[in-house]
Amino acid sequence: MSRLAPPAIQTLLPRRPGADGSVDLLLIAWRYLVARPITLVSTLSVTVGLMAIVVVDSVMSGFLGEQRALIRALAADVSIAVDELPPAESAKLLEELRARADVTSASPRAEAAAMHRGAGFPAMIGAPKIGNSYFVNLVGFESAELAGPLRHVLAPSLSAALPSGVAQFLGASTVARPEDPFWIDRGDPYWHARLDEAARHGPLRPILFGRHLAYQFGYRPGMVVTIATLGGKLTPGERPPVLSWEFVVVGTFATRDRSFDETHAIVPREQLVEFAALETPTQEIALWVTGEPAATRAELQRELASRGVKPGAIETWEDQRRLLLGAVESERRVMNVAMFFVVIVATFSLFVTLHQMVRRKTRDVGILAALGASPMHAGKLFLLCGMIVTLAGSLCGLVGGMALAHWLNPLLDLIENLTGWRLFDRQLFSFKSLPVLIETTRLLGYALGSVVCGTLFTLLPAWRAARLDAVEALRHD
Amino acid sequence: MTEVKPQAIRARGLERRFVSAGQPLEILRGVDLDVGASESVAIVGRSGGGKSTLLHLLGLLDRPDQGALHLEGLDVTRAPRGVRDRLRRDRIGFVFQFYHLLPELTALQNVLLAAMIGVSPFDWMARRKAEIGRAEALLDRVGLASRARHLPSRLSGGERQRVAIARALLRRPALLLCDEPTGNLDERTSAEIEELLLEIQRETKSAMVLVTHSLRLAGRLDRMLMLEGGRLKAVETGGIADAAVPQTMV
Repeated sequence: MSRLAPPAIQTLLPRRPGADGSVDLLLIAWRYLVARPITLVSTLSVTVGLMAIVVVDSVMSGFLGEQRALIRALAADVSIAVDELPPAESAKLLEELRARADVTSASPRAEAAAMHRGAGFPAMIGAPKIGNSYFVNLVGFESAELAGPLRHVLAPSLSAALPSGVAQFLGASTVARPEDPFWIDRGDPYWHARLDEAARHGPLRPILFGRHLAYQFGYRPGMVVTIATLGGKLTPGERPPVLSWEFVVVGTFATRDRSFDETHAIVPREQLVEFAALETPTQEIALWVTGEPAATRAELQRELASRGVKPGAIETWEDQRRLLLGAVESERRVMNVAMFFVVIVATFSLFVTLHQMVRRKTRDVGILAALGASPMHAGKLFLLCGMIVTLAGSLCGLVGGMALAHWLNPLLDLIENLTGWRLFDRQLFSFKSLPVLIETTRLLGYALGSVVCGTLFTLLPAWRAARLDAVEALRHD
Repeated sequence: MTEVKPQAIRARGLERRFVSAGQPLEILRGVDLDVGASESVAIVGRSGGGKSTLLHLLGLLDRPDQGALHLEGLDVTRAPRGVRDRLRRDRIGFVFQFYHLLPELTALQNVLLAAMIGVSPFDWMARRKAEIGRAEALLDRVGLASRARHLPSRLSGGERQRVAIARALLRRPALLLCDEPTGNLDERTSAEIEELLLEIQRETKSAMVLVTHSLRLAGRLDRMLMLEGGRLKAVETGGIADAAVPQTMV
């Protein structure tokens, strides 16, 4: 056996501290972990912790998404309050807005409070009323807006999300023609006699009721409903005239906001202006835009300042609902903090495991030093152990959690079928199933957070290992 | 022209002190030692006399409080940690009394460990086959070819020490430091290990410093030194039975 020639001391200096490779670390770390079932427990705790986070976050995101849709109701992307502008100026502005490239739809809107008489259906008990009349808010829409950006509120598919009794009662009726929501089907034999009767009193005027309002009061398509409101300009000391018209129920709408659907009805805007004798026929202009609503708002605030439109009069739907959305975001933040603690708890076991491992493997640190390893080498070894555990646990937790979230509803159905136990009561919400929204970017953030937490928890044991004295370590029993 | 090999070890006035229970403890009080390039030296002495401490200084695991140390002509007394680590890795082989194998690794992996430290995965891929071949050859040399894939827990004490010897030899060290290599073995196994160590030292022509309580083993090396009172004293092989050397070293 030959020996190497003695080296010159310059050649022994490392190129830079800690630059040496570490192939042995991979082998030793792997063997350490495989040989100790406790590390499997640590891996599992990280996995289960992250799985819980992924599933909870996905369900919460689903719920929050539903809440946002619910909060939004019929709000447009951007609204411009124009009730202080002269009617001619409002009309001109509307035309200009419709010509903009970033605006897909621009509609004037108006709203008026009114009263109606129910058809005597028992579910109306408890509705706000005066005498035998009940309150309803009339919203004036352009037909094009309902057929365009708001078509989803008229979509028949939503009837499937209703409680079975409501869906059966309403049948497939939303509107007869979604592309022309105020269309009255004069040829329908079921409607025919009523329409003839209504036509004797004047022109036929369509109305769409919120589904729950229609259900409570027994309003069905083809029925004629009398609506009353106070019209004209109110003068102190004078009693305002009561205006009363008959409307034909042409369908229903559903916004997923039950309270909105219980209190609102939609009529053609021009008819509402005439019926309620509104002083300002256009109270606001609703815009549906192609880009970010906030960007359009900022642009419009700059452009319209010189035309008497105050910056505060232009708002996105998120501005209008900022309080409710703020509550939703706050809910999410609280949940994120709670989830972060789950990550900490899940990765803390790693600290305990590695702390014990360093104690038990102290002599190994001395052996490695005798074989030429630097103190940093021992630190890296335990850091690597921790990172393998936390990476494996995080990866398994992320994949497992996303799979569980993806198949959560079938799994819940299976459990319900097998045991009869129901986790999620569909009757409480207007959901067919548990809403789940897997937001990969944030979930990856949780996984990264878990790796960072796990790594931080391994730093202390690794630092301890790196500080061990080689001679003392060799003598360790 | 004949190449003159530098001395494996040249130590002058090595001192090492510790503090134990608040009291200063002078373990080494000026150790002078010269070991030739292929020379074998035994160090004997009472337990707690500082033999292992001296070995740790020579093996660059520890630093002297005073004195100078040269390895193969290099002054390593105040060499930076990185240099000391690399010298330990490439030029020094350790054999310990309690074998000091990693229990999670097989015999072959324990031997290979010496070649893996400080090697990047890419370099390792290039060298892997050659290193495994050499490790297997060394295990074959120490009579453990058939136990290469066994964990230390499946090996006897003598077999574990053979693995440790193979590990110490993998990097072709210039200096072998053996700390009571037979101290934990029965008489018959001790004799086998003694024989193996001496054979290997002759084959490799490495310098060897061996700490032992076995006067029989010490007597078979080129020189025997006794560590007493923190200093090394030469002992004539023929004078083992003299009163200067205690009969019982333990």
